[in-house]
Amino acid sequence: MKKTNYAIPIITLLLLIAMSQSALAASKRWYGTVGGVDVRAEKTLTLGGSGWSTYLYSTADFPINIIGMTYWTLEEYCPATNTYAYYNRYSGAYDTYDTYFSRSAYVQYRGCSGISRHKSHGNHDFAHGSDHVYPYVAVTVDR
Amino acid sequence: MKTKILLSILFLASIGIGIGFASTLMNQDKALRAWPALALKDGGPLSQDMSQDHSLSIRSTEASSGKIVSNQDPSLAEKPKTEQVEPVEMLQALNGRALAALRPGWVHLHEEKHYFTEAENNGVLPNQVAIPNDQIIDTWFNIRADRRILQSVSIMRTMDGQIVQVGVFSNGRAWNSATNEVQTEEPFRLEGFDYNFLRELQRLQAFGAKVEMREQKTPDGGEGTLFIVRLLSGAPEKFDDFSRPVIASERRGLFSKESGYLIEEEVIFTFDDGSQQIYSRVTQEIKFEPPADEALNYLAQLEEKQ
Repeated sequence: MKKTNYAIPIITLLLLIAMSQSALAASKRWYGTVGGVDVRAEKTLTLGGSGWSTYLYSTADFPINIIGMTYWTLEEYCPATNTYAYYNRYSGAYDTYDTYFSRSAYVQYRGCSGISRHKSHGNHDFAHGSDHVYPYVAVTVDR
Repeated sequence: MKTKILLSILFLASIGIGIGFASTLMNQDKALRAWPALALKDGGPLSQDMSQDHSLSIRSTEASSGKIVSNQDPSLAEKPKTEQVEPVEMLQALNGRALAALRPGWVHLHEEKHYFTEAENNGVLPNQVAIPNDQIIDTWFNIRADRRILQSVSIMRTMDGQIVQVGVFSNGRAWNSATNEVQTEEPFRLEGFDYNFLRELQRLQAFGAKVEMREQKTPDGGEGTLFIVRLLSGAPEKFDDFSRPVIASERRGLFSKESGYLIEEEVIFTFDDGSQQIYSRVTQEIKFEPPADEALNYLAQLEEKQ
């Protein structure tokens, strides 16, 4: 029986879907362990009609001593002029003996000559027992 | 058998999507081929196809507040839509005209930006300098024949002349005064002087935005085209810098038909109580002239940085 190779069209389709999705939203994750507990750091960034939204999540499988972020920076950068149309840095915050920490921001577009590069980045904060980690996670979407 | 049918459908769908992407990428060339006469100074299809309307339709505002004094724009409602030329094709043609005039060498872009929000500024840079709501930005681009930027210096100032930040790019290295970091970057390619209007219009159309265009005089009395992009938010958008959610936005871009440049852009928000406010206003001028000594000094400083 003749076999047909469908791998290429399927991969092509998946890539095209991924490309079309990446134009509107993106997320980045980091996985690790602190004091024997699995933890995750994630940021998402979504382009809306008049502005962009971004979320920061720090999560753990079990309650840990400290869960949060050391800082969180939001940018709208103009690559054509190497200047910032918007720049905001939030200072550190955390919860104690918890499994979940989150923050969100909704920012209206500023605009650039040429594309705008929206970026949400910074270090998360996890501590348990004598372990302490500060994973850096950054997510970027061009508009 | 079912699997084969399913895989065949997936295969056909991938071809269809692929054709769609290719079509999008080829749109610009197609538009320029469709309207070659736009390269001419006068008598292009724009003037033949579009009826004249010289009324000023960008709304008047109270000085520096952004609050709309009169949100009536009767001429807009009465104006018949132009059916002969699609807005995207028109914008592509205007950008094509702007690019056709480019020659290798220096171009000076002068911008004035005003943001009307409840926030004091547009954030604070790492060196603790605030990005003001009212800005003047002078950028000099040294452009190669392929329209990629060889060098650039951009200086953002407050309205009274205080420097807010400086961005410098030279031979693949970029520096910003606020971060004081030198980074490697790909040379940016100029696609027009439209303040990203075309790309944004195409993006907003995917959200269901409606686009309208009409003839309008530019402030210096030249022939212009006004593009109006209206978007109803799918759900109210609650931004950190406004106390009320935004339910609709309108982006108005006035272009010079002669140069192809964007002259002025306004973004108007409609809030959930029905009130409207100009959120941002940008004006820009483009001149073919070399950088000021101050800008050349910044370029020299970048060359010295490791």
